[in-house]
Amino acid sequence: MDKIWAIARNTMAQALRMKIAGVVIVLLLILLPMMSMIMIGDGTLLGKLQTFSSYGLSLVGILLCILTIAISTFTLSDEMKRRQIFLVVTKPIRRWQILIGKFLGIAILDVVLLGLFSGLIFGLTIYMPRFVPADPGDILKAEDEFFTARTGLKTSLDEQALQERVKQRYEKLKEDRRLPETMTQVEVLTELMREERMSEQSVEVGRARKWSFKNIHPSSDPNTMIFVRYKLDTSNAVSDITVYGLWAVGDLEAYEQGAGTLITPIYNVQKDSATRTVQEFAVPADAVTKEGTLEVGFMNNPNLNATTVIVQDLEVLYKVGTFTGNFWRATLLLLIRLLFLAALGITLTTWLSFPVAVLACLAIFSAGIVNGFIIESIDGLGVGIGMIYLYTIKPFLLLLPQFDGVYNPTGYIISGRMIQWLFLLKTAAVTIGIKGLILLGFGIFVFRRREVAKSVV
Amino acid sequence: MRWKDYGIILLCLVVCGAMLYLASSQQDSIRSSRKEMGLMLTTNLGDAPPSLAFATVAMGAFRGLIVDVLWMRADKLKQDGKFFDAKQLAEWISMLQPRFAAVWDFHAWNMAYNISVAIPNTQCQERWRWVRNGYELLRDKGIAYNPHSIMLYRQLSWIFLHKIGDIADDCNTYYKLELALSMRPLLGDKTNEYFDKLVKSPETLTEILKDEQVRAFVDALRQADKNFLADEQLIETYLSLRQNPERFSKETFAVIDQYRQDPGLDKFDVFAKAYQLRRVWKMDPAYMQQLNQMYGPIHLDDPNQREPLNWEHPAVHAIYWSAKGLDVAGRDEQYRVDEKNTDRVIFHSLQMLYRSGNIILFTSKDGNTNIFLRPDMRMFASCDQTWRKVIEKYETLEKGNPKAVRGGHKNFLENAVMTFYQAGHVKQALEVYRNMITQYKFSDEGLEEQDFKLPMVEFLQKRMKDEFQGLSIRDAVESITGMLRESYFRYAVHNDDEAAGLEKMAMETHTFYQKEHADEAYRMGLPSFEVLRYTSFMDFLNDPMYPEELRLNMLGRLQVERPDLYEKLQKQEQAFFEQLRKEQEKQQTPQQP
Amino acid sequence: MAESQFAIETISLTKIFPDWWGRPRVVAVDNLNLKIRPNETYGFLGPNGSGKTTTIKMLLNLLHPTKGAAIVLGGSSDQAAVSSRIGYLPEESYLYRYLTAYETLDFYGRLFGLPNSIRKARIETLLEMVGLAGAGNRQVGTFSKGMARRIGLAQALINGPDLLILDEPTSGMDPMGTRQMKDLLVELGKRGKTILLCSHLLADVEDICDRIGIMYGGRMQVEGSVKELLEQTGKTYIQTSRITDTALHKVRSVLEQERCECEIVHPMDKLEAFFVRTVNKAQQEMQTTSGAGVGSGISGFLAEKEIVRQPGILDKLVTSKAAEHAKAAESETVSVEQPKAEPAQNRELLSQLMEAKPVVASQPETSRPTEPVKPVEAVKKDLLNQLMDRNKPNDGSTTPTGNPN
Repeated sequence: MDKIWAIARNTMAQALRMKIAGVVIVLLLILLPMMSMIMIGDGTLLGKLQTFSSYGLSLVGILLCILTIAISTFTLSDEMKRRQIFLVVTKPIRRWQILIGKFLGIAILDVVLLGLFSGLIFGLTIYMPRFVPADPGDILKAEDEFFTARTGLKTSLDEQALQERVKQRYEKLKEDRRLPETMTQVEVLTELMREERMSEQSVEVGRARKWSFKNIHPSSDPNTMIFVRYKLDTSNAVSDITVYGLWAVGDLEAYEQGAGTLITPIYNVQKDSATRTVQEFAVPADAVTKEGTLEVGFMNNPNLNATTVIVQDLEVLYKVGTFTGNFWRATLLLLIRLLFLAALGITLTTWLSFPVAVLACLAIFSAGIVNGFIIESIDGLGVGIGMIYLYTIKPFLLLLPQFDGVYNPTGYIISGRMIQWLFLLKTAAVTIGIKGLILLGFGIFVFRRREVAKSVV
Repeated sequence: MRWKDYGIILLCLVVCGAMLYLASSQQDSIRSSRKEMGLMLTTNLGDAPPSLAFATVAMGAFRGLIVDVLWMRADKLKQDGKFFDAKQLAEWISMLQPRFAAVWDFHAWNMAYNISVAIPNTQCQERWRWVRNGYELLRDKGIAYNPHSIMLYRQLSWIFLHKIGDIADDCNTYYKLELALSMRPLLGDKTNEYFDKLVKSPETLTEILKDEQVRAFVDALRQADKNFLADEQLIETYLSLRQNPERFSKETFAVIDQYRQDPGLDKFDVFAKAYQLRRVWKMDPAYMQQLNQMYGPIHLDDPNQREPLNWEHPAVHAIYWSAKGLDVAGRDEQYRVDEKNTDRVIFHSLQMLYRSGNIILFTSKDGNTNIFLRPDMRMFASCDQTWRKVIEKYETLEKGNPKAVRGGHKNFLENAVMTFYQAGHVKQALEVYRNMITQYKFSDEGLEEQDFKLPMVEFLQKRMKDEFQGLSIRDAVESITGMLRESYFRYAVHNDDEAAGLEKMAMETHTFYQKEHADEAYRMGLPSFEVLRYTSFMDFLNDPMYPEELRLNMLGRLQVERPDLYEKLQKQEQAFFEQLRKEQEKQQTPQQP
Repeated sequence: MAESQFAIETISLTKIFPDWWGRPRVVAVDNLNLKIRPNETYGFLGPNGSGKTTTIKMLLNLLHPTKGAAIVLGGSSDQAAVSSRIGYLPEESYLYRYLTAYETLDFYGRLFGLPNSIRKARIETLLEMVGLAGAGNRQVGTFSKGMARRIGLAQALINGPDLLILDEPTSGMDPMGTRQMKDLLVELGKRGKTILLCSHLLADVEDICDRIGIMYGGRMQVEGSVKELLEQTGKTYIQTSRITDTALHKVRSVLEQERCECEIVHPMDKLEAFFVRTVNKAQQEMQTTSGAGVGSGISGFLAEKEIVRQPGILDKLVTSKAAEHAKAAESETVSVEQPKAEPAQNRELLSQLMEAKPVVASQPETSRPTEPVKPVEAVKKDLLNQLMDRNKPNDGSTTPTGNPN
């Protein structure tokens, strides 16, 4: 351990003397406070907080990622180039200890730098409401939607029942010989599934639909709010129209059965919403029963709407944690990314030269940044060409790290969403525990067999 | 060994060559589609600041990539209902593709239409900000960099006409109020003379300061308060005098008072307003005046006098940008199309002005301002002229069938006759009626219109009869009380002529309906006109749509100007309740069997 | 650990460097069978590119042999038990420029897993010994080549190694340092250490080595003890104090009577000895230097080492022999110090150097360390010619130390 520690310390000393480290540190120290002042977002306090935290965390993330890539690919390759490694490997130290030591050194450095800059962002964010002129409404909004950690429950469709129904419909079509000739079986099934899915979510004019959520446990504070998020679409293809709906939240079942006394109050919310954009409204948390159930109903207002409304991505959000805790979990999410890159960089330099390793690292990093997007696009492709990608590129992409989508910490921070510990641990286990360790193991394997003084004639 | 090396080199060369060939074969199609989409920076950017010019050059080929990334982010955030970054992103994207008019167009539209409505209608202020972001992006940046892209003018005028002017958006009155409030201080007393002054006012500060009198005034101002020292902020500071008086020293107002009669103050005041119009609103007073002369309202008493357009109204802005676009950016090869689009906007704008061009702003003591839009009958002439012109133009040029347009015009005229008559402008009503008769005596099928042979009053009665024939009693009551409420509103804002006209109209309607339905014994007749008048009056007094102060104003005015009526009203109130009880009893009796 | 009677043994050690395509290109070491006994100071000689350094790298597992095997201290040097007993100084001091001298030694000390107290004490002594006690907090990047070399040497000694592998240890060092290095190596040899010394400076090698081997083209050309190889059996060398011309004449005549060819010269001082004298004198007069000091001598380090170091297995094996070797080495050292004449062709150059002497003395790191080497290289060339011609170095007339002909 002492030996690993010696290597780690030496790696840190080496890294801190790299110009890029100085540049990154100075840049962030200047840029972050500056951004906190000039970033105004849409002019509201919430917007300012969101813009600053979004760009601040992204900037810190990107720069530290680049720094980590630079250090991790530089440290070993430079020692090999300058042959300082000769004096190290001839000492009674195992090759794996060298690599682990380097990893440890970069990890410590990352923890310190990330802690420093996240702390800076955190401080600036926390103090922002005091420096920005904002009315109490603005502050309340910021408290409710930003300085919080909310968790969301989504409705889930009964997939099995859906599949059953699709199967029946397919059989029926087949019997009736009404299967479209131009489509393959897979295509027909996909289309049927899509229709079934849609019908599960759609509300016809004048009709209502109800969704129940279980296991909601908001805090007992009487001021706690429950947030209902949803996205509406209409059955006709016209984009961006306004839909009028009546929402009811509470224990609707008891209400419908005409129970004498209602367990919970029923909250009615009349709302016009633009389609295809996430909307949100809040109701007091006493709408949830003691057992933790909540029902949300939507009625398609027949006086104002003329089309069937499709309710998508219905989600109930409520506060479960503090902003502070969530922010540091977001930082940990960033750290996972950095540690993976450190392992990657070190591994690559066990057999590649610095420039090649840097390029490869950056390529993998960029791939990680758009990975989720590409996977999503492949999933969204039609059946024909999509299949080809599905079995060729997608498995390869899954091997790569994923840094966007749910793995992107800024998304959670700007919408005040809870990062679950379980999710964090799972991500850490997959990204570092599996992908990172496999990489590092491979690096050790290569490095143990490597002739460090190898020269090519 | 050697041969193997040569072989490898040769292979590499062949691969290189093949790739080069492939790349070059794509070159032509890429270039042509770039040209097609107007992505080639063949001309210099208009008034681009150096930073923008640098950004577009320095990024080189990566510009497109960055734009893609930003665009994706903007779209993703929009879908998630997060708009905090939308304006910045829109600006960046447009900045990186400054010559791509469609980009400006899209983002302005996105902000003004998509984002604004995604915000709850209870937060009109926030919605307005997005609408404004939208038109400002177009007006201040898009058009500034692409002055010859007619698409941008069209979109800009459409935002004014449709988004702000029309009633599709729940917050449209708020938009109108904001626009009117920001324009009002710049328009002086809204006379032709004032517009002439604006036109003549110099364009730069240096120029106006050459004037001795102005110089003296400005110097005095500067001595009184150091806020006025900086040239760049002088005008803005001066214009904010009225909004934020507490920010300035007492001496400032002393100076203003002192110079109140001095031409220096007057000249500077006019200059500041013209300057603000030119600089912030990007509007040229000369062109504004030109449009005033072309489309301005006609004074009802003096048909030869054209008054200025109501520049507080979004429709007028729509006219400005649309006409300007055709002038500046009309494309030679597609002039007809552009012209038609412009005509369309101007036509609809004028109609809108006729229907709702009269802006009434009512500010209560607590500082809240409400906006009411009422028809502006003075706009009839411009509207009518344009309509005729359109018919003529498309009859001769397009050889199209103007039947629909003609039909519309006929209805328009019929309504106008009624409106003028209702408002008490019998002379105008008669004139419009005569015009209509001459033009539409024969229908499109060549048949003579029987109704047009009638004298005007009879014609109107017949029309009313047609209108009320199928009307249920509830609708009739609704219609009459509506007219009465409107009449009281006019009265409250000291528009007595129209108030009287509307009341008269309501009474006539009532009589008319009573007469029509008198024979129908099984149906209950209308409540008496007094009852209706009273309920409407109470309705008006209890209508939360009008600010409370305005309603109290009404009562106050009554008490002062018509104490007798006020007393009578109080008595009536008691009598009303009496009668109400009776009517209720009566109503319940037939239901019992 | 396999029992081996050799500290270093290579068996048909071969290294072939491939080109980019993986095809064999250069045979760097060809079937080398090197055997170095414990407690031996072995001089490994050869021109540039002859395969010395490659051999060393294979011994240290920095390169993998294409064929054959290298056994070091009875095992392979990638075993911790073996590598913890090796001290290695590469051909250049590949140190971390950003670490100070102290940190550098501390770092390597930690890699050896030395406990804190011992590490600290040893660093102090070593710094003292290599004359860098005053520069302990200076970054190595600011050091001259010679100073860096001293730190390199210090790190090679930090674990108190049983086997020292030194690749050009004196390159870039000032003469004082060179001298000290030699003293140190001799002393270490006496203490029973095995030393593999690789050098171009034949004088150094001659002075301290028990055995030498000369490589060329990846092959061992000749190998043997120094005495064996350099002894000129046909000549005798008489040294006297100053004598009168008459006496000299008498001697000559006596010798001529015995039919011996005889040449009489006044011996020159060796430049190294002269330099050492001058610097010592200056040091006694307390002149300070920002560069490397002379160092406190090696006794401190060695004394400390003897106390701390647990004798390794090999130590036990060779203890009995060690005493004898030590004696032998001592007598050899005496003979080394006998003044020897310089080859005539170098005199002019040397006299120039002499003039520059004061500067050299006060600021050793500014002197051109390669200059004194030059003449040697010139001579070496001759040697090489010979090697190529005859494959036999055993010709006293061209040895660089230049016995009077």
